[in-house]
Amino acid sequence: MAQHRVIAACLLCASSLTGVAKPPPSPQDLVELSLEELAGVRVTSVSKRSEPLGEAPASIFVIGAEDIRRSGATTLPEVLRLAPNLQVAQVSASAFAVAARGFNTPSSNKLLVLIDGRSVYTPLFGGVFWDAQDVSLQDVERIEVISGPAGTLWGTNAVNGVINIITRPATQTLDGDFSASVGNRHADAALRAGHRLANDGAVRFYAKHADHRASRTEVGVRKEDAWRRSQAGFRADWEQAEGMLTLQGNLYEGAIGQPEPGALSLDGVLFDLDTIDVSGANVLARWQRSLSGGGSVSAQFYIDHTERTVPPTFGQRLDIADAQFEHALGPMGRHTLTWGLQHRHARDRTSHGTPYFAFLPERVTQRWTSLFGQDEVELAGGLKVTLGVRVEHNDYTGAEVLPSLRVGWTPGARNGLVWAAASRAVRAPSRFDRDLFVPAAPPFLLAGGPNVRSEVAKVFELGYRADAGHDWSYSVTVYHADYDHLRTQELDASGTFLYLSNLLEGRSSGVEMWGTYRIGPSLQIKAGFTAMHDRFRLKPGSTDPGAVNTLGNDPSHAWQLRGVWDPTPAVQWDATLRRVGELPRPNVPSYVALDLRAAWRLDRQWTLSLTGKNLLDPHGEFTDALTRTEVRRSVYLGIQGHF
Amino acid sequence: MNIVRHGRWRTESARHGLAQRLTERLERALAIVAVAAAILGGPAATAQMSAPEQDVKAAFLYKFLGFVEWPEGALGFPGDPLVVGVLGSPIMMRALENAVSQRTAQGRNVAVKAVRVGEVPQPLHVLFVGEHESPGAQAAAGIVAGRPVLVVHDAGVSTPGMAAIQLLLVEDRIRFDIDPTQAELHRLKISSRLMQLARRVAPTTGP
Repeated sequence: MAQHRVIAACLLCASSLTGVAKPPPSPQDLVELSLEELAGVRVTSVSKRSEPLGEAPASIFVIGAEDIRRSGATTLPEVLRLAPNLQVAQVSASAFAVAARGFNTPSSNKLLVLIDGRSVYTPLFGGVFWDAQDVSLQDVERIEVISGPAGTLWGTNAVNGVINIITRPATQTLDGDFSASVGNRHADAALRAGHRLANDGAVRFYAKHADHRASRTEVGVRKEDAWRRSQAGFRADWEQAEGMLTLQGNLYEGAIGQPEPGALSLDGVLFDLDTIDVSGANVLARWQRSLSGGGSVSAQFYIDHTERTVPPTFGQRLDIADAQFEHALGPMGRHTLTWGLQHRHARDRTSHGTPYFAFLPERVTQRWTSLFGQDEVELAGGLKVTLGVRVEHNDYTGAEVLPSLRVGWTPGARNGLVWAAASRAVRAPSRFDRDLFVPAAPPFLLAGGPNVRSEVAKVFELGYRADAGHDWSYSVTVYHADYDHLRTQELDASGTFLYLSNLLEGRSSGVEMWGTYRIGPSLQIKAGFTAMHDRFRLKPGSTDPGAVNTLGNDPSHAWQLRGVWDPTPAVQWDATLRRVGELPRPNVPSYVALDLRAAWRLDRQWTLSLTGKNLLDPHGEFTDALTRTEVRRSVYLGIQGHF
Repeated sequence: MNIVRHGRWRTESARHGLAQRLTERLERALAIVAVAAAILGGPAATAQMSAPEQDVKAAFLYKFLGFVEWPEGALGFPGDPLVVGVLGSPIMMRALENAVSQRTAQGRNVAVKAVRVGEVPQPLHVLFVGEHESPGAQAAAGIVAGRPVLVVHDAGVSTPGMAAIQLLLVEDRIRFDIDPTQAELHRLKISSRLMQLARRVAPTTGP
């Protein structure tokens, strides 16, 4: 295959060069750099758990705190639109389909999402209920969007990407912050207060509330999908010279209207529908410490309780306890080793309110245990090879092995980074794959998936990344993925019922690129482009010709262009133009959208902003013409202040 | 690409097929460009290093010391050390100690000391304020008002009137903004070379 040959050629060239091995930069090395070189160093967050793979070469787009503020976005999926390597499609007023590298559906299941180390995907279907996830946006330090397999470090479910949302330590948010926005589609407000604690610690508390109006379909029918959500929480950090202790907690509740007309989907949209109630509470503790010799150790524990009631059909109460430990050994010669273990325990109690479907057994206790190891080797010629493997055990399929090989090459000191990777990632079965029965009592029409196994992806990637201080930067990645054992619905030999199985295979390849360019001191242009094509094939014996349609609905290409302009120190202008290609099944025409935002700094403390989203023609973004939400112009005034 | 055919194929629309062929060609072209750029040497670009935030900020702070002029006599006798006070961040304090160990600035050794509001060491030549816009940071800036102290603020949001130099995290890089008026208020002169490398230089207000 073309990509394999190119990767092999790269490695061959690299190994023929001779040169001195470059060890990772120590603090003394950093001081040796010139100011220009220092400006190019990528910073790893002190606030997230140490994870070397985050530094290893991969297709990573970082959404910074300033980008979030300037986009005017008020919900997480809207913030994620800033990442060119993600597909974000609005399905209703509250529901979004978010994916990387294809397979996008409202219940897309190949993306892992973490908020401060807490994984927010639900083991119910392996995806994210975006209407229940929120963070205090003003406290986000950055969001790392990794497209591509990251199973070795993050486990099963990180097949096509990882979204890592990191908030600032409390020691950096000691002031108070208030922000509110009100417009034709929504109103929201958020407040945060910080306070010092003994022993070099600090704590912050936040509370926020948002209210969104219902949307309409393209023929003007009002969908009863208005929603509101409230959330409050705290974060406390104690910063010692050798390490940090962090404690976090969040509490939320929301009422989400179920859009009608609707179709069966795991976002809880079904038949004749009442308001969805969601609520949850979580606490997390994390301890990090650097060791003499350059190593570090970290431990994390969290408990996450979520409740979701989808009347009249379905309810769920889920409790998850998760403990992780990681040890990074300091460099030993050319090798830097890291290893870790994780154990997760989940108690899932579902209930069904109609005879139409149920998860059986209703109550289930599940466990996952994993162990991972990684070695980063410095070779001659500016070459660095990272070898990692993770073994994860789950109750459905036993042990899964997730290996990965990454090679990074910095030829000379000033020529950017060429990287290549080969990985095997796996999506282990969720309850939706194994335990879904239609109707709730026998005789069943759909009798679960007793033999559903993990979906497997083998991915090959090649990328190049370069930048010059803050004048320009760009990144290009090409990838090819072979998927096997994708989920299908099969007819039993008796012809009387269906069951879930894995008789679909496929391949996809694509390119992701983005760049920034500075024109003068106050204007910056950012652009991103992705293209992808995929094809799928049923395996012999399958009776599910519709399988491909349920897998995902993806455009063949998408691009976005952003202008960031600061005409004066007190005025900011932001414009984003984006185009998403046509979706095939069901067909959604391609669309172009324009977002604008203007902000004025009133004084040292307060900033006023005016944001307009989707200012061009109304358009649909997902599902069939009859039921999809028409995304219309939204204009809102915002105020933000520090005190 | 060679694909062995067996089984039933999905039908693809003609447009899908065209996009597919174009994408394949584009990917191949890009792969070749990437390899060529790497081998032949792409445009001058900085090394793709990554390091912890506090180490990068400490390195920047150490570098700033060479671009600032203190008034005559402010640094004391020729053998006296340059004193850097750190308010509020033990992690930064340790990073700074690592950065300056066995190095000199302005021809002097560099000493790093902890500062608490109410306990400001004398003499003090640089004040690193490690908190974002908290009342503590404001108070600290007030304490050294008018004195020849370089105030460097580790800021989350660019805040005018706080410090001569502000360090900011933009996406995943460290940038700095310079406020020459603030420097003047502390009787310091910042080299124009450093100002060229800043992300933003605040306009000087009138006398």
